[in-house]
Amino acid sequence: MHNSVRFEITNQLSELSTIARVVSEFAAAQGLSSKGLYIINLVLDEIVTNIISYGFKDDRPHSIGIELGLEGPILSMEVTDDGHPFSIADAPGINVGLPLDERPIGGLGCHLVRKMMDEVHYERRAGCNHLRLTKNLDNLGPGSRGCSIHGGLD
Amino acid sequence: MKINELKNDNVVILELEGRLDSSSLSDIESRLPGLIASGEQNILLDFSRLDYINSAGLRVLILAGKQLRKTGGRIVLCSMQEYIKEVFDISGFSNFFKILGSQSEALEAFR
Repeated sequence: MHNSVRFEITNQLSELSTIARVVSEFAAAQGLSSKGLYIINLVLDEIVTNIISYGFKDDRPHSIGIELGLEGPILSMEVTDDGHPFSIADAPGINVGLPLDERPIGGLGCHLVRKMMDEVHYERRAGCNHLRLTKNLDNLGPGSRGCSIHGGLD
Repeated sequence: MKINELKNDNVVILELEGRLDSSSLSDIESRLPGLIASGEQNILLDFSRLDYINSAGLRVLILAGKQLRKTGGRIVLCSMQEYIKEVFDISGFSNFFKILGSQSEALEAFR
């Protein structure tokens, strides 16, 4: 069974459905739970939407590389783009304790990515942004890797 | 995303189905402010058939919550998948919205 997948999309929001399809196939092949599937989809959605919406100043098509891998319980994801330098890892945080009326509208996507992943590592290399994220899926709670379907852990 | 709109006494119920994301939020994004502008004060969002929400979907809810706060109305949510509830907790949105287990409990909360 392949435990990694790599694919590319272009910088158009309609490509989010490509991500949803590939992630869904990956999650099914790896026996991930609906929660694991949701987390991967959400994190990639937020990162890629951000890149497509704000990453490029020209109108040329750009490709965005996405890699998903699973080694034991550790999910890893890597997103590569050639947009202007931006690190979600260093984006300003939001204060979730603010009351509704004072709560700003922006910054939520970056906040969700950082909170849902264990590690977010950014590097600018050869004119490209490389964002690498990891998450231990065993920390999601019971049945998070879909193991309960098979009647036990490994 | 599909939206099934119902009315129970003075509560508007919107049952959301499918994905609430950037490509599918235009309906709810216009419907919520429209309902509030037309004078609805009690809005119940049933998430039992909602599989997915992202930050863009959450933003629509916070905007509606702010708008309703001004008119003295409120939004109650119900029947959320556990993994979606977690996103509400991480976002701090669980503090802004009452989230209940079933549609009947949520209707009761408006009484």
